[in-house]
Amino acid sequence: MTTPTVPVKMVKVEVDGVAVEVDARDNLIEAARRANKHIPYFCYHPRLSIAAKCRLCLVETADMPGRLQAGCQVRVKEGMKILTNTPAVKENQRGVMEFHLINHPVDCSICDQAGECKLQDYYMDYDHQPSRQRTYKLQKPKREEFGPMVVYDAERCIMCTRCVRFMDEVAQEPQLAVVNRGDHSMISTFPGQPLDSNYSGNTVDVCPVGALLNTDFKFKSRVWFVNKSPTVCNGCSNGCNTYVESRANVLYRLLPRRNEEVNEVWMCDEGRLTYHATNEARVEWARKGRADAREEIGPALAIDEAKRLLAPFAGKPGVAIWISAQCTVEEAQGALTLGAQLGATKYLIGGKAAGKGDEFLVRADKNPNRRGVELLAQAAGVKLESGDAEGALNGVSALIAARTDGLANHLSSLERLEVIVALAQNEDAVSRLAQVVLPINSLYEQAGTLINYYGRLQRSWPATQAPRGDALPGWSWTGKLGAALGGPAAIETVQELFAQAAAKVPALAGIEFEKISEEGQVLPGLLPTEFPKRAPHPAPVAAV
Amino acid sequence: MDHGHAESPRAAQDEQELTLGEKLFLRETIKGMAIVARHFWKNLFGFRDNTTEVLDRKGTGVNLVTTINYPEEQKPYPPGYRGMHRLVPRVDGRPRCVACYMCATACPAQCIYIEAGEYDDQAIEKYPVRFEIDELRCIVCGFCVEACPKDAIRMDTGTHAPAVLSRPLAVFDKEALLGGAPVELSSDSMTYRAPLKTVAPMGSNEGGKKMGGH
Ligand code: SF4
Ligand code: SF4
Ligand code: SF4
Ligand code: SF4
Ligand code: FES
Repeated sequence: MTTPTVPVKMVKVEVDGVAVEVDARDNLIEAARRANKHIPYFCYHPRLSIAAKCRLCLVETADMPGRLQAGCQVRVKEGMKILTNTPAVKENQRGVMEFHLINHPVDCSICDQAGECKLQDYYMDYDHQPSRQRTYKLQKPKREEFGPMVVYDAERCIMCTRCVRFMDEVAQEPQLAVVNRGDHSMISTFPGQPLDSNYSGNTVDVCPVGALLNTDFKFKSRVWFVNKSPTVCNGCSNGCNTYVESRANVLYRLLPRRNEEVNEVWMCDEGRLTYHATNEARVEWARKGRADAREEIGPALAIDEAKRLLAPFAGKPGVAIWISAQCTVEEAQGALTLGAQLGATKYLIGGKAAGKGDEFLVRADKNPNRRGVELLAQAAGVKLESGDAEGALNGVSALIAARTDGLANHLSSLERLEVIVALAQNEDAVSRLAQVVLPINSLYEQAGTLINYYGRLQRSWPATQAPRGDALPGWSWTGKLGAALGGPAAIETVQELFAQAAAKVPALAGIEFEKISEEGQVLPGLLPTEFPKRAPHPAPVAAV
Repeated sequence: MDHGHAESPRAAQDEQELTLGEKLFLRETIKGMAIVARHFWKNLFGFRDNTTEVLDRKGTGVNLVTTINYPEEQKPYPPGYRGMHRLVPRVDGRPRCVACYMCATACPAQCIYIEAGEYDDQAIEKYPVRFEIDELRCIVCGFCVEACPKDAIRMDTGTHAPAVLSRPLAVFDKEALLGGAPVELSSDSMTYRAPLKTVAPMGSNEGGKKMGGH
């Protein structure tokens, strides 16, 4: 992850007659990729050690005609001529595919991998002939629950060992192994030790076939029904880059998205489950009234009601703004603006309770944007108090909460408050207590920015377009509320809101919302000098 | 066009002056009634076209009228007629369908709704919890039948979707669709093997013993 100190040595090779200059450390598969040629492979994975088990990648080189070499295992050398298309190579690919399929159950119709399965793709590309198997196929366990998230079908497994190598080398929790020999071999967990690593979901991603499946996604949808949109995981302050897959307004799964400086191509299991909060127990309609007296009254009347309740407090002490660190930069900016307009005397930062972190991807702070909220508050010149502290709500009589995470710890204080206006995503104890509840979109449903633990600004794209009740981004509600209370007209777009924040925060100066790339960017002056031991990160600033 | 038109005998006839008899209409009316009467008697006592098969002919051989008294009398549909769908059962009565969504994917009218579930005790663990077809939206193309890898959906019922009194009644659910002769294929062997389900943590030796096979 650190910038290489030795300059990259390049060598010239030819792939099927196409001259191309490649990194001297490349293997033949990567060299061919640079020449836009595809060498098929199952067991090779750019981030794992070389196993050379599947034999699908065999190609010829001009200096050793007739001798097939493993494209994953052999490195390029100056002047090498790689041949990916000779009759011997074709015959090997066809034969290897037939071998892999000899005992394969071909139960694609009940296999969740269908549609993103390398075995299906390569069968079409390199084999495409009927089975010559005339005896019974070998039967193996079809549904082994390896752990809480992963289920294994030994019959579909092609024994590429990617999953084993992932657990050994990347997760560094060796929980999988190959057992038995020959066509009886299969992957197994160890006795008494399920696959319960927090990174187990990645084995499903690296598995090129449907042998490992994610139990959370199993049978929920076919992969070609869902749309993918880039977003950022809101499970912790690392801010792993992800894709969220959705159809209509239902989210189905999160998959890691490549970002060398944040999560490489991995993500943790907890993060994979964060989409559930978008599907379940949502506050859907704007409403007024506490607990059983509540009444869904629509956005316009809810704003009127909030205005009626809040107006007497404007400019008086006792107004507090609660900003959850789950808010996007724009939502936090909206809440701060509203606070300034009302003359709020207290600003509290809340969020999900801290949990366990590790040396790889998982950070202890379970909120994706604490850094962003802090920077905004600093720029606005307000003092952020911790929402975790005992008695944090003392002296408060009216509270506006931008997301309710963490507020439930103060239930007894909340009960004695005169006014609570909550911008809430999910139903919880707080949404039951608030006089006015305004439903807000989850991170995965809106465009917004987040700043991760080391100061990386990252953008998310909305996954779902179908409306969910009255839900709006948090900044939209605070804008409307501000306008109703006599402030300037509400800002209509997230771009303008970001521009407003960027104008105030020095670290964001000059950044335009639409120009933030999918990888995000490191904000100047925020990088720490030290990172968790194995965490992917940009080059640290040299300690002066 | 004009040229051809002018020369056609039909056009020449059109331009003919009507004769006095024709102008009086009465004679022509009687001639017309005679044709109607001829067909009436022919239909009542004559022989109908016996190439037309009619299901459930009413009357006892006397009634040989070609006209079919639909819906009391019905013509059978030709073989291959794409009629009302059915979900094909296995011999044990469960649907053959494995909820693979191929039919729903192929359906151009997007009228098939499926929700998949998981059996705990079956070798083929996937099955449709819900399977619904909106027969009003269906364009009767038969793509679903073509797409199905399990021969689990057919349009061989020989009836068409019935008329309904409200739109929701045209959405047929799994229970309504499941029926007809069960189907077994030689490739179904997988259905009848022991459910090879195990729960981690599984020891390596145990795994070896669990394997069947030949
Ligand atoms: S692993 Fe691939 S080829 Fe095998 S059943 Fe699943 S989708 Fe089909
Ligand atoms: S389970 Fe998947 S990743 Fe693991 S060896 Fe089998 S095919 Fe490869
Ligand atoms: S017949 Fe055509 S339109 Fe009707 S359900 Fe089947 S695929 Fe859809
Ligand atoms: S294609 Fe056949 S097996 Fe698949 S869901 Fe449709 S009816 Fe069921
Ligand atoms: S990719 Fe080279 S042997 Fe599998």
